Amino acid sequence: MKKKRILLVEDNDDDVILTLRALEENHIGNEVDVVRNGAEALDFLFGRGKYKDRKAGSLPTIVLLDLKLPKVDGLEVLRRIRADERTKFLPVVILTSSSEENDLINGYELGANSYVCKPIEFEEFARAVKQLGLYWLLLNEPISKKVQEEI
Amino acid sequence: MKKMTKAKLEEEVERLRMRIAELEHSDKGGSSGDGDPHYREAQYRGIFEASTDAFLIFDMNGVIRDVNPAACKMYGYSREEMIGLTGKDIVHPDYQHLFKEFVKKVAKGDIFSAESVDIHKDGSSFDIEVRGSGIIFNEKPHLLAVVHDLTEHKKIQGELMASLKKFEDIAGSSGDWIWEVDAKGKYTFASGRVEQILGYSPEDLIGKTPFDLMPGEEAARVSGIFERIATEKKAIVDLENWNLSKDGKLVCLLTNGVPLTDEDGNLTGYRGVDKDITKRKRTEEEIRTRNRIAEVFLTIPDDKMYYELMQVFLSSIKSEFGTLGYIDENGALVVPSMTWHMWDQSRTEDKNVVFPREEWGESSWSRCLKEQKTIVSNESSRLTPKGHIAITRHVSQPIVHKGVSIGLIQVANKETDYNDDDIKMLQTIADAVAPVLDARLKRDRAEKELRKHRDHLEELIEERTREITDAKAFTDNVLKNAPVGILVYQKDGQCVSANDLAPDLIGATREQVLGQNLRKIASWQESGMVARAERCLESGESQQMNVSVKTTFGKDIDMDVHFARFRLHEEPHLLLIFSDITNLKRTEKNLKDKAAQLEAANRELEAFAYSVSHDLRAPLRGMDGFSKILLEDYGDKLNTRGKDFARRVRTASQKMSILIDDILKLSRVTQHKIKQETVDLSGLARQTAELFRKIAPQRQAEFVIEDGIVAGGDAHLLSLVLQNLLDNAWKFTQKKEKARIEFGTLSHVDCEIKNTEIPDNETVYFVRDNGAGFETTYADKLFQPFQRLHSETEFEGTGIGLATVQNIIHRHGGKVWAKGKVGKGAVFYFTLGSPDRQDGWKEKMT
Repeated sequence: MKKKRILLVEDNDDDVILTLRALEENHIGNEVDVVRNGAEALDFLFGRGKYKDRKAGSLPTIVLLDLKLPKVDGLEVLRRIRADERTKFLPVVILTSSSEENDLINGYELGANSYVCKPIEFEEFARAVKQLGLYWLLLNEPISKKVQEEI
Repeated sequence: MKKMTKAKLEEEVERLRMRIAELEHSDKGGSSGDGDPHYREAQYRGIFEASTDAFLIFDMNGVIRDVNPAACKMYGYSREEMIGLTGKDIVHPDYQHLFKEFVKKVAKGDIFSAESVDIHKDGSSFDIEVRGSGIIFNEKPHLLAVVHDLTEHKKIQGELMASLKKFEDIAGSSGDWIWEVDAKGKYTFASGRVEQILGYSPEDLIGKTPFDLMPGEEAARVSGIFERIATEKKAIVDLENWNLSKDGKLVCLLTNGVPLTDEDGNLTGYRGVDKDITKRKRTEEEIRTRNRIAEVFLTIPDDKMYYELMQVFLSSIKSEFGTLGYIDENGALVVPSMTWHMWDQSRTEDKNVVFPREEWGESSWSRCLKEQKTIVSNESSRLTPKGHIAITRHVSQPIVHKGVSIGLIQVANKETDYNDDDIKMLQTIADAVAPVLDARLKRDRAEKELRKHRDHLEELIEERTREITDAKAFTDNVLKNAPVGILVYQKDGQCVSANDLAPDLIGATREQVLGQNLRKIASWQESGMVARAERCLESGESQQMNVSVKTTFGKDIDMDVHFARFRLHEEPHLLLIFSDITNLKRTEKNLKDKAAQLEAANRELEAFAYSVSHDLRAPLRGMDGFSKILLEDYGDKLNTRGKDFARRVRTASQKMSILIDDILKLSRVTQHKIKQETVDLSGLARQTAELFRKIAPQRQAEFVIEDGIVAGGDAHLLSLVLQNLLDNAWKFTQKKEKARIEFGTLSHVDCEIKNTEIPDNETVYFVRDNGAGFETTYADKLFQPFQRLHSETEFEGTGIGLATVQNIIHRHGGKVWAKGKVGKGAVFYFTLGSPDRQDGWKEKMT
């Protein structure tokens, strides 16, 4: 079985560390790739720029996407993921500090699979990340590549 | 002529009597030969022998004892033959009674006089006149008859009558008769024609005066006139007089006559002709009556006409009483006129001057109207109701026009019976009255109708006038007081009317404005107003536009202009209504600027809130997360103090997190778009109270919530208001053993409030508690964000809740304020804007 991986798109170091720690605490910390802005995230997913040597087609199982990102913001990243044939079924969870209604609506409209507001209290945050990881990595059944191609 | 003969005879007899008296006297005197009976006899004998009249001396048994020669000649006997004959032999058998009377009377000593018929010896009869008296013959009383032969006289009289007849015929009209009267006015002669005229024979009239033939008053009148004429011995000329004929009819005679005098000029009588002019008079009277009727109808107004008309026929028919009525449009008999005293005497309680048809009954007048015939009664009426005047005789005469009974004439109580003449006259009157009465009734009805119409018309005119006056007053008022300029232009563009404000608004005088032609105003042309005006005039389509112009008179003005077309004097006119919106425009611009600024500020605030929500959270999470990790991973390397510091970092970050959340809430409230809903505030308050009880069931708290408080506003926001206020109250009563929290409404007049900024008609809501209260001095600070009147350790909180409340209330157009006293609780009042808007919302909901 192919190893499942998580792509974390997050510009805040603190949040990166806290997220990774929360995942580690639940023993799913090793399978995480971290990118620091939207452009990098897109490069990573589509195998461009510094990721052009990355094996094409090896998409993550789940993308944890912050919204407020430098260069290309989270919503734009999501829009492009959904616009591309290769990534349009890729599970994307918005993981953000914003509890703004507009962000929520826009996120879902663009096809986010989940919207999770980062709790400020670490314990709660850790619990949320753990549940996310368990659900998406272990429970959720993604569309297989073969099926995707057939579609 | 007969009369003259008779007079001669009487003269003769008188002469004889005197002679006899003379003889008797000489007998008595005996002084001369006269006294000698032989002489006396000789004298008597002389007369006896010489007279042309027959002298017949009868003994007391009526046997002839002596006759004179004239007698022999008259009767055809010799003297000897006659002596011994009796009345039976010489008097016509039809006149024997006269002879007997003669014997009887004269034997008694009376004088006898008569006309009779005697028999001649040859059997023929002849008219005679005889006078008888006593006489001494052969010294014994005997009867003397002096007989005058009337044969000659009759013959002459016959001739006379023939010539008279001839005269009468020549004199022409059959109505003429000839008469003679003596000085005392007694008829001495009347021609035969009189019988045809008056019914009396000439013999009936002899010895009577003409006045005997006249009714009382007329007799007095005519005799008076006659006396005057006779005194002056004047001729009688065309004297009209009314006479009663033998059978009681009134006959009008026209009398003409000449005076007769003797040799000495003394009046001996009159001779003349009477002409029967009754028919003419009747015709005249009829014409007069008809004329009078026409006159009455033409000249007498209203119901008085009926009275006058009644007078005409009362005098014509010579009746004491009368009534005149007409049939009205309902078929009832209306009697506008009765003889007044009759009316007074006849009035009974139930009697009305209008007799509805159904109450006519079977009286003579109702029969007369129904059967359309004259009803005459010369007998006393038995049908009169109680109190009615006694009716001795009466006539009811219908007035019939074109076969319809339209009225009724009644006359009553004439002195004599109503005869054919009266009835004829009454019918004539009715016939004369009919067409004019009909016309009059029709006219009266038409007038009544007309009057009704006229009244109605006048009413309409009055109403219309009032309407017009009102409309004019309204228009004048509107023109005078309207806060707009109003101008009227003719089709050719000439201004013809302007209200007071119009010139002021454009900086001109009234005269300047009225002198303008809209097509020649430069500012109109430039601003496109002329084009709009033309379009409006042409199509009738109203036009509206806003223009900013510099007027001909140098005034800069922003105008809201309305054009409308209307008709005035049958010509299309242009109505221009404009208002000065310069200030409005300025304000509008200011408002726009302000709105733009506000918009920008809001956008900034939005951005700020977004960054707060996002950017401020991340470091907090870091602070909390790393202090947690520090405690977890390096807790064994920290002493108690170090651990406490790390915990304090966590607590501070968590508090800040709450603060951020509250700020975000406030920010969201600010951006939330207010919806208009009907909100059940009582229900919301109860839900909140329930929530509190569940969270802290151990607390003793009483909630007093007024029922049925419903307000218009945004349900979500208003629930936030109540949550915050009740939360506040809940929080500040937590130290009370028995908390009491109220929610209700107050009327503005409640002395408790006295907030003069609140309009009278706005509802004031309040939340009251018996908690910690506050110093009123700081009441205003309560509503500013992050302002707190209590220490955090006393009562937790961020100081955002009341700021949120204020924000929501303000956005609803209401006000919020608070009153409190330390330790005695607090009251928060709020309103939700004008009732108009409130009502508007409520209506929308229902």
